[in-house]
Amino acid sequence: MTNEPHSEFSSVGKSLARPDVAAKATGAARFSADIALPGMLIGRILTSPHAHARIVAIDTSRAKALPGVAAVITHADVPKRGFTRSVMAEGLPPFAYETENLDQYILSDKARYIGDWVAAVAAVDLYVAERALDLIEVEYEVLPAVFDPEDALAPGAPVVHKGWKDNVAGVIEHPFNRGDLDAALASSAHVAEFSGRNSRQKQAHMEPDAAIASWDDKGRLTVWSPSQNAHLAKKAMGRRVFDIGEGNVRWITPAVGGGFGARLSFGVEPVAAMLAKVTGRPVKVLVTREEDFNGWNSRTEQRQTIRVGVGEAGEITAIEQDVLSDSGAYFSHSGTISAVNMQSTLGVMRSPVVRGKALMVYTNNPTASGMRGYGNPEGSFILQQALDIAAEKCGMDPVDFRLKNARGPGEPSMWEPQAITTCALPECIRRGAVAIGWDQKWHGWGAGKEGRYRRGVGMSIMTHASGAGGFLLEHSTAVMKLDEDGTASLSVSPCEMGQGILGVLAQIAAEGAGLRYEDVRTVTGDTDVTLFDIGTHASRSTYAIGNAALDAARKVKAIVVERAARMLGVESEGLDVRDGRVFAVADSSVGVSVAEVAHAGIYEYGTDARHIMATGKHQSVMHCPNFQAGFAEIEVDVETGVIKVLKLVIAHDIGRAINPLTVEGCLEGGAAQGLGYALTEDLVIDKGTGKVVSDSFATYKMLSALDMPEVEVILVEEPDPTGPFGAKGVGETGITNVAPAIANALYDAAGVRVHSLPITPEKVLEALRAHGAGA
Amino acid sequence: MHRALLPFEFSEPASVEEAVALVDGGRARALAGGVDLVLKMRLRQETPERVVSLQKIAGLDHVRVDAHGGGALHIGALATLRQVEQSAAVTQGWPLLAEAIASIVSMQTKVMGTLVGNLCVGTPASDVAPALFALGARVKIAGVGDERDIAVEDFFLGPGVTAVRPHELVTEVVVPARPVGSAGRFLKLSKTADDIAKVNVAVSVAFSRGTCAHARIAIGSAAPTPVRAVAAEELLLREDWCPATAKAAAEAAARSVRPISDVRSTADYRAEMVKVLVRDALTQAADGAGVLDGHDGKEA
Repeated sequence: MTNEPHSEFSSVGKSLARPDVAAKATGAARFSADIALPGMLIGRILTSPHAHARIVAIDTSRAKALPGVAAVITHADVPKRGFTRSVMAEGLPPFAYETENLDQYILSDKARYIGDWVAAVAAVDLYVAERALDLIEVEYEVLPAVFDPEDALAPGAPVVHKGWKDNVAGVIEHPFNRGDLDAALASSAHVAEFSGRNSRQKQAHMEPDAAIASWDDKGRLTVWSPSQNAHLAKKAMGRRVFDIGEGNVRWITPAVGGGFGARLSFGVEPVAAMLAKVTGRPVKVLVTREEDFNGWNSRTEQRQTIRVGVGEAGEITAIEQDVLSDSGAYFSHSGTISAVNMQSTLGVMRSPVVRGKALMVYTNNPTASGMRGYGNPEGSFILQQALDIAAEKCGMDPVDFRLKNARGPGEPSMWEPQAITTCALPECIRRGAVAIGWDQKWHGWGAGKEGRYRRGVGMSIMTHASGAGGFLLEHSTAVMKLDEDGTASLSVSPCEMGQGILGVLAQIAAEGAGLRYEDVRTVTGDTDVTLFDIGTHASRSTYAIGNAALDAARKVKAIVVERAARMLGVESEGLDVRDGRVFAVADSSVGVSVAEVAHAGIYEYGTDARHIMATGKHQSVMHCPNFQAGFAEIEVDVETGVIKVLKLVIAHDIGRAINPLTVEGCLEGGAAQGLGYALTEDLVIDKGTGKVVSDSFATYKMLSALDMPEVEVILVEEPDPTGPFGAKGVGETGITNVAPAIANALYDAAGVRVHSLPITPEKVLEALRAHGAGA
Repeated sequence: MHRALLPFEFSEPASVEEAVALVDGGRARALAGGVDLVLKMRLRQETPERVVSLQKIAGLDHVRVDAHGGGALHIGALATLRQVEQSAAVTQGWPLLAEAIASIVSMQTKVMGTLVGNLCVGTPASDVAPALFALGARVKIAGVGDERDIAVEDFFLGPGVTAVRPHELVTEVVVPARPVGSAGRFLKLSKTADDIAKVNVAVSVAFSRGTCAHARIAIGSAAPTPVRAVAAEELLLREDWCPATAKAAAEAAARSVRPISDVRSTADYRAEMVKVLVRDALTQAADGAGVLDGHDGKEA
């Protein structure tokens, strides 16, 4: 990528260093678990060893008697108020929130998965707290359990939630279903079908879950935790978990070590708050990595079938998507992720007839949730293979088939009432195809490759939101103020979890106000300081919070210009601000520094004092979809089934790259996570007991640098008129195309398809044998 | 599950004699690098009352060639995997061992973990064990007032179970000089570069007039212990070398394993991969040993 700035910009388009990078690199950054408050206790949670068991009795007397133990709590001590772990759900419109199941309590009176939270301890230190856990005696009545969502639907299956007649957690009809599917498929020249399932990929944030809670003498709660959406978490804590009101909750977000969607759910914050309330002291609750693997966050396993009808000319006539989601023990994100799966999966291709339906099912598996891509990597793995099957039936090149059928500008976006404003997808496809060498390497359908090592190429396309407009509440307010020295504070509320958003927002604000990048401080992480925002998800922060920051910055600039004009004795119309200096466009020797303007505004001894500041807002019912094409070249060893990925190409419709290095890093990181999702990452659950077998990084295998192939990132910049300087979102997107592109490349190389993720050598070899190929 | 270790006594004896008096393999456990033991203590898979550190014992951290003992390689109980991997004596004289250690990519594991500790874990998935099997290594075990010396393939008794008895410590691994003209190869399949093997294989071969004069084949992760494929070795020593011989030996080797299905792979896959890896390793080692230099097996 070129590092040349766009000539009209000072900060935008430059790969400037992120403000948080030095502290993260040197270890100076303070994460939630690093924080210690005076008098603070350490909390630990007792988890269930049974997948499904009624708690008959809990004897906490021995634990309470242990010196140093301040409190032991059980379900009997917590509010009888159901809530959902999905904090993001607070952003749903009320009619949609009503379909969320409020099935979660701070501690449970019935264990619904191995790892469910049964009791909690607060003690003077970790050692005492863990000794106390060992002393809690729980009498369980073990109940029959169910671990497969299809088994859970069978008559007579154990019912996971008391008072429910069955395990159907919810049903969602795709809101944009249209046309007569059966008739459309019947009259299509070809129908392609592909079925499969994704794995329960773990977010695997490097920072384990942790939370501190403290109540003050007026009954106001302060929480420190790595939340991705602190303002919504504040509401959920104040209105759902407890009944104290939003104003009585302050949420502080210290440095965050990765989120990937996990921090859109409550972690241990409700337990910390309860222990702090009972003890009257600050409590820090910690977990182990094994508990996290056995716990409350993973990608939702979805079993899907997609059928694509195609006409004689290769035009798509109908698409049907059927989704079965394993919610696990609690509902959490399983409804919204199933809905977003259908929106993004069914939203990329043009089709006159669409039918989508999702069914969410309770099981005694760990609770699933939302993860990077939020349904898109799940749906794309199925759709993009179905599209290749359709292209093969038509005898069309997969590139041409997608170019012919993908939606473009003016057509409905993934959230259909809205129209696509800009779409660089064709350019992404064309440039990506060149980068992978498609014309040289794709030899047509049934190329009949031979030998032990067989190479193949594959592709995938996708669309993703750049914000939640249309789906959720979508607004953000930023505050920018100028200090006496001409530096500025930008108050915003994204979650900086390693992706670089603080720098991106500072670049946008600096550019908008005419300040130098290094003179803009981003102030964040405290709901008492920042204004409302729905948080970092839906790949929205650059787009939505960026728009709010830009609005504030432009207002600040206007005030600076107006006051500078008076100081200079000139008309404000002819003035501009850049790099911290106000100057006359006609004669740049006429000017004054922003610092002087700001200083004069505050140290004003007459009647015209003004601390220059402005608020900026973004609100939209549009989500400005971004687009992307992904390509993979692989080599499969047909004797071992091992897939070696030779190269990945990701061509992304970024609108404008505010910080190209950050965007490339985001897409490369997504590609690495996507490759792990494609090939190795698998939360393995024992089918007999419900125990997570891969409960550490020794058994849950993520890729390291040694496993990564070359990743070529192509940023296609076609500025969108609705984005800040034309920018669209990117955060979640790098993950989505990798698995389907590899799956399609496997078919090109060896003529087989694997129907479940990850695509392991074991499965490849089995498919090759069934196909009669291989060794 | 716990974050903290349970309380334990910590001892740092200054001699092997003192150490063997303390360790009993159960309530009192020896600690060299601690890579395996400390993790298991956190997970409460091991709950020793006493941990006996060997770190203060002098004279156990050597990697040296004994010129008087036929040029054998001696690896002390405190020699780290990294130390062995980087030893010039090892890379020149026993490259197969260096290759096996190089396949462990975690630098943290290699700078903390010892080669002897790796064996003492007793895991069938050890990468070091197959190489040592193929190289004919022996293990020296000190007890109270005595010392014994056993072949490395007699060291492993079952998953997590070794020949080390209560009040015994492994003090040294001795690798004999490599047979003249021999070459080795270590191959491993794993999910990711840093994962434990699904299957690993080490072979050492030497040729005389187109037939194997020396053949050792060892396989890891495919049975309750690392195993030597003796029937396959015998076949190699009997038959003229050719691709079909390598394939036949690999199939014989696959009959000497008893793989299981676990989180890393399946029994079927492992059994199949033994065939592929043994054949590939033999073929590559044969190239290294020069069987095809100027003549092929059948003409010789």
